[in-house]
Amino acid sequence: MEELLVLLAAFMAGLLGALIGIGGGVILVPTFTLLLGMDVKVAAATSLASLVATSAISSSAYLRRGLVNLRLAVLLEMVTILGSITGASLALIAPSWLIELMLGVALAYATAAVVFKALRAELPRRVEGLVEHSYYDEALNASISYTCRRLKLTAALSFLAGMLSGMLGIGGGVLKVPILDLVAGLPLKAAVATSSYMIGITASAGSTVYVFKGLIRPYLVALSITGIVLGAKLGTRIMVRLRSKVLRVLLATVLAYYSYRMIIRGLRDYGL
Amino acid sequence: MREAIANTLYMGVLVGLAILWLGLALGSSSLSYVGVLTVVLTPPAALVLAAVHLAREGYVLYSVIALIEVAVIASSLIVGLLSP
Repeated sequence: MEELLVLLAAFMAGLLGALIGIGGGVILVPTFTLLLGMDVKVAAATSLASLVATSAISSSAYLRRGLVNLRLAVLLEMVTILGSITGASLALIAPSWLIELMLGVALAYATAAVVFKALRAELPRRVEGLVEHSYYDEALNASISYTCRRLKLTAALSFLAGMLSGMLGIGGGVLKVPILDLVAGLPLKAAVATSSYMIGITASAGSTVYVFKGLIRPYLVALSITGIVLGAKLGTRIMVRLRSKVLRVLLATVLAYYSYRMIIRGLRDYGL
Repeated sequence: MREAIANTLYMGVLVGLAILWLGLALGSSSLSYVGVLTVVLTPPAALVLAAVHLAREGYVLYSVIALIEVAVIASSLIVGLLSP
């Protein structure tokens, strides 16, 4: 029964990860801790190793379709890794409730912005910028060309996203997708695909340390990856056919959930 | 080249998963960990190919950045291996 639950949770994580470019740890970690009673560190380590699979399976499909902006991913991932290292160091001195509240408010803002953008035109405007890229959108039956706007601000926010990721031990996807979509001005599908690709690199860097600490449970990883592979395969097929507005609604729902959880957690840690 | 990067990502996970299940079936924890490590090291392996791809397209700076990221992951692997 427990195996079936893990497989189901992993399938959902893979599906959601492929659809909106997040890792899926939000599904796996509670499954491991609340349903299987695992220690949170073991759960996080096992989840992180499994999330590499979500990223690899999703981004392999997106790379074939030309959705991943490799140059932008490589550039921003460098900044994210540096932010993650800084965040892990700052976590020792900064009060966690303050970080959680800040993240909660930032995610609430991102939710509102994603919803607001969903109400506007779907096709991205062609604007002057850097790291130009193009891909074929199956849902729109059109070739989409775009550039990255506000690259410096995007890089700075990616550093902050990496910092929060390192401080709170959360996956970066929930922050990366809104940054790429709202700040860099990438079409949502390109943002999801590029974020998917980046998550694998971040998760890989974190997992390598855990492997040798004995915190990863191979049997659970095997079950999780099996579920993730199936979920992500289905998710990538659905994502390329969906219209961006549907993806936005899905993304906004997950962001709102994260925001609510972070604010509640922050207030609880503060003592309220 | 993008196809090669995509294939590396896809096959890396599938091969790692196969080794992982084989290790579990044979009751070999070291083989299981080899499977986990194969999965975990798939993105940096693909990143090396991405660096080559970017260099071929003339984006040498991006290629160097990609290789630095691979070095960072490799160093975290070494830290994990050496730390008690």
